[in-house]
Amino acid sequence: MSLDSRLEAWVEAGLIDLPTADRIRAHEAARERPVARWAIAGLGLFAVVLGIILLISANWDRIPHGVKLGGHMALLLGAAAAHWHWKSRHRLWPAEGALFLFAGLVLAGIALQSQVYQLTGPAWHALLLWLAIAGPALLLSGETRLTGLAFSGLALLGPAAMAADSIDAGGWWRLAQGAAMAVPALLVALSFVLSERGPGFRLALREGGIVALLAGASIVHFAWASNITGAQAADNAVRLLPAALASAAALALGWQRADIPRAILLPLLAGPPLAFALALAIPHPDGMASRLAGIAVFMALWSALARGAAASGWTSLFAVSIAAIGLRIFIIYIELFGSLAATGGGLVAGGLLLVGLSWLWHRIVTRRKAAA
Amino acid sequence: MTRRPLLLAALALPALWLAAGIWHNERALSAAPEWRIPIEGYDPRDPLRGRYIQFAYAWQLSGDAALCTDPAQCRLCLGKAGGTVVATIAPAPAACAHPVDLQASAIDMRRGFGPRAETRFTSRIFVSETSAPLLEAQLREGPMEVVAAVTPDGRLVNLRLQPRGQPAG
Repeated sequence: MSLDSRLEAWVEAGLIDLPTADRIRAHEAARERPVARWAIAGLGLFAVVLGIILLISANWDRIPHGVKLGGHMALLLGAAAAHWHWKSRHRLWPAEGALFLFAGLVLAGIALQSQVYQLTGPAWHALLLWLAIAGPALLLSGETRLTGLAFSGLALLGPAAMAADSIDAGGWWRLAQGAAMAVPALLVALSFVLSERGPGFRLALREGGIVALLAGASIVHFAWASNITGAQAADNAVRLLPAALASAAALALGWQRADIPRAILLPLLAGPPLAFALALAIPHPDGMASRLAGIAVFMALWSALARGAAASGWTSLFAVSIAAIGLRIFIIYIELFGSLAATGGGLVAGGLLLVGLSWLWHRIVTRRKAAA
Repeated sequence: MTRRPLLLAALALPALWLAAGIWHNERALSAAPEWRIPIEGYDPRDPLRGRYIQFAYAWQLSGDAALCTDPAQCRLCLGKAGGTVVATIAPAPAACAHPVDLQASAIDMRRGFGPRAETRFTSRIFVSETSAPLLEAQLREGPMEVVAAVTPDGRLVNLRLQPRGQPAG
């Protein structure tokens, strides 16, 4: 609905009078930006930059190594200097843009050296190096969501790639994999500790951590549909140790602060390690009982989150929790039933549960509105 | 702005690290002797993958290839015999003049089947879009060689591809 039609509807409903509507229209017209012109100019600029990049790429091996490495170093130092300059003058967005570019150029530099000197190795070596040398600047100077997301991405990506690549290695590698699993809770803990920093940066760390925690806790419950031996369970218990410690530390830090309501904080930080421990650190066969236990754990985690979110007014988390529960209910019939008739019965039962769930959602939202 | 020295250090860290990498690699390459090793395509004949041309080193191979089943356990000792490049398989650490570390050089060993079970060592080199078609055709049609440097830490770095016997340049 356009502004004009909405204003007309409000005037008709008697919410505002005609002069007010005209004043709003005039105010909005004065604030109007030439979006279309900017979009075309931006598209043109993007095409020019992309064209230059492609021209350079097409003739890449004809450019001497020294020119490539020197050019990159100049860009990197330029981005660092630009960030320093704008940060000193409190120009928030230019400084943030330069810092983001700086982080991207660090990865480009690692890739460039690998290509020029034919350095080889798993991708996570490069990603962890990226985190180690670009991470400190982001962590020290990032203020907005842009650099917060960049840092969260750096922190999650490299360790996750390392854990996935070394999953068959035992010994000390298990602790390294556990450290990778601890990253989401550490991001949440960092968002509590960096209290003097920009709210956007902290929010991005917290969101990155929460999304990774809940995604991990949801994925791990697939393990209920496989056979976990005693030896595997023992390995997983070692892996769980750093992750559980990080979650406990984040919980202790967050408990004293008002950033995340306690009703959400507890299931958010205690739930995922618990779901992991139950699914992977206790031996179980692949059977109907295990699968049902898995469903129960999944439901318990998301229900606790939904309850906390509803009580604290976190509507997005509440919606995501309900959607996760709904999705899981829908999947049950595929998992548990086989024949046509049983699948039909499963669909009817699953559908009824979903309808019931949406009714419950509606009731909670209505009650909250009434309470407000 | 608080913590200025810390931020300055954090901003300088990547440039210093990358500069140290360039210095280390340039030093290793400047001390590395260049080798001209004959190469050929190998089955499946798919030399161009992405932006990399793949090839097999066509050196004269001696020694027990079974040693390289675990690439960390073997080295290829490069040498020359009557104008031919010879690669001798030796257990790691090898006490030869020019040992090549397969892992550090990203060289794969491919063992053939049947009575002529040839063992080949394959590698790749990055080429640009404009030079790729010519190099790919040359590799299919004529004898080619790779100019490569062996660094002191055992990396065989492929520098360029050229028709076999082309004068140095």
